[in-house]
Amino acid sequence: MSDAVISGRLHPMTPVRRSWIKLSAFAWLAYGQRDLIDFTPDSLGEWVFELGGTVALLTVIIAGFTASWAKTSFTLTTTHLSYGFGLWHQTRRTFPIEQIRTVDVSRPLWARVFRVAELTVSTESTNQKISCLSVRDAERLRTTVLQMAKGDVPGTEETGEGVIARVDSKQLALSILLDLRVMGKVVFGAAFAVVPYLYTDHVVSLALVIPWLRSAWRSTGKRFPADHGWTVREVEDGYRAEYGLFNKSQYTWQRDRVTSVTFHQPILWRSRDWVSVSGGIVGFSSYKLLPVATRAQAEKLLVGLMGVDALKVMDVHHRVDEKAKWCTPFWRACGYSESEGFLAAWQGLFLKQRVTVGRTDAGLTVCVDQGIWQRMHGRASVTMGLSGGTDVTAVHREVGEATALAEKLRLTVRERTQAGTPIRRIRLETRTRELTHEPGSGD
Amino acid sequence: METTTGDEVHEADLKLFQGTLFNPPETAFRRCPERAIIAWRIQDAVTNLQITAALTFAVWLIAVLWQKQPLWWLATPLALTFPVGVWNFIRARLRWRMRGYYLGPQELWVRSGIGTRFIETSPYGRIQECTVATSFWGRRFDLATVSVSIGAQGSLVMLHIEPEEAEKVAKLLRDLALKRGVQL
Repeated sequence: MSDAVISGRLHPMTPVRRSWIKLSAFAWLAYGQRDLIDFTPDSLGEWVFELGGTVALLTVIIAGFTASWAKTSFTLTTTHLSYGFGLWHQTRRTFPIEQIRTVDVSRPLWARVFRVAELTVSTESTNQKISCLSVRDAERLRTTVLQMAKGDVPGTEETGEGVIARVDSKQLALSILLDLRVMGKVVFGAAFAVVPYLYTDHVVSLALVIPWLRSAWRSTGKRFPADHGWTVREVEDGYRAEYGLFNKSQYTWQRDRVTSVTFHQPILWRSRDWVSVSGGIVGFSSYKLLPVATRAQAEKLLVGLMGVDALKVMDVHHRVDEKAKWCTPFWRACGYSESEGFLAAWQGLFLKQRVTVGRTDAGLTVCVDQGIWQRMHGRASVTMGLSGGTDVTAVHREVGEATALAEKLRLTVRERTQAGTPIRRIRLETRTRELTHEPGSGD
Repeated sequence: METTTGDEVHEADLKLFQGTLFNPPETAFRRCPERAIIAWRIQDAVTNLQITAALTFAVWLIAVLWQKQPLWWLATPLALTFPVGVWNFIRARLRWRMRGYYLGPQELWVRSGIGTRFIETSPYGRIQECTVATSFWGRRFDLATVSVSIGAQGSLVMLHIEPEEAEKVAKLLRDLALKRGVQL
């Protein structure tokens, strides 16, 4: 193995952080038993035995967590990042440096109390959290890993970091209140929960309020602290979002991993021309990129991620013809647009308009579907499936047009697949690189 | 299993897109064996019977025991489940007729759906994983299912085909993915 660039353990407070709930529960239970013990000289042997037992048990708990902490370590070498953990079932996960796509530092509320941070290492298909690192260690590890993954010498300064968009609290609160779809659900939920009580006068019927409160909190109140202070910065090969009021999190998206970008616009946001932006990222599901932003900010982000052509494709809008009104009442909003490298599709009219722009070179499948109603009116929908869990769908197109579009997309996907970097070659290159780093190989 | 190459294939594939979804029966798509129809019918009938039994028990408990209704009330769940049973019987053949797969020279094609019909295609180079599975009823009728994961939402499924054929198809797809697989 190559020499370690950075190695270390988690923050010394880790055993306390991990055991405090169990210790508190134990202390509470012990305190509850205080009346059962007779603290008099007559029963000295008895209470010394009980006190000794308690201390022994506490020692075992603390020793267990300390041993677990001692067995947890990370090592960064010139070729790999490895993370070992577990007391009984010891595991060591190793990530080749060139497979690491992003590294993010988060600070959940509990971590801020203990002045530690959580590091998330993302590869193409999975991620690994390394909790309880000291803030300095986490930042140092993140910077070094990112520099090494890019092939830079550790210690060089990271460029970029310009702020692209920042969501202030007022805008965020207003955007949640103006989301008619969410507020409609809350109001209907409230009516559904309270009306039975008004009719029956039974307190039991108020039980419906509990699930309503839960769903209302999740769709409105919880969004505010979760998305609070959302800031998007430009980093060298993509963007980084930092967000959260209590749990401070960050997430980095690299340009070449973003396969699609979707703008959502609820009806009451239209007068302000606000949109929310989400994106499909290879190996992961759809991610929120911006909870609310002006269209200009969103378009700037789109251009930064996918280039100017992605914006241009949105200028041309092939709407469906009037015959589609038999398939959907919102036919005026449906449409698609395509260019050399992009496919955009519009859907939704009343509550939420949605436009998705996808890279055709990231297309994995092409699907044509036709429902009974569409068949009666000579319509069909074409979907291009993208990695990252997002699809771009041109809905209710005339059958001939749908077939031609599907055929065109199919050929594009096929050509791009043939032109892609073969995995066999990548494997071979990785193996060669590993061998050249082996000691005694002359490197 | 590869058939032809070059422009000829392009034309053939184009015909698939134009011909199969909208005029289903005459295509190059490979269907599952006809005994799959019986498997689906039995599977659906057993499910339907379970629902009928549960509903009948509920009617017996509520209507007959509690509300003191006559015994003929026990037949009422049949009004709901009998039409469903008839539809399931017809649906099994329609399902067999509409389902199919085609291994083209460059891509895998899968067709499915009765009311809403789907035809989906993906190049072999995009295949991530290939799984062969057999369900309880599949084992009774010696049928297997091949699922192909491609990294997008859902997967391409070749339902209820011959087990030997399933193994052969899965091996071929794995080999093709290994040979032509590209980075996502």
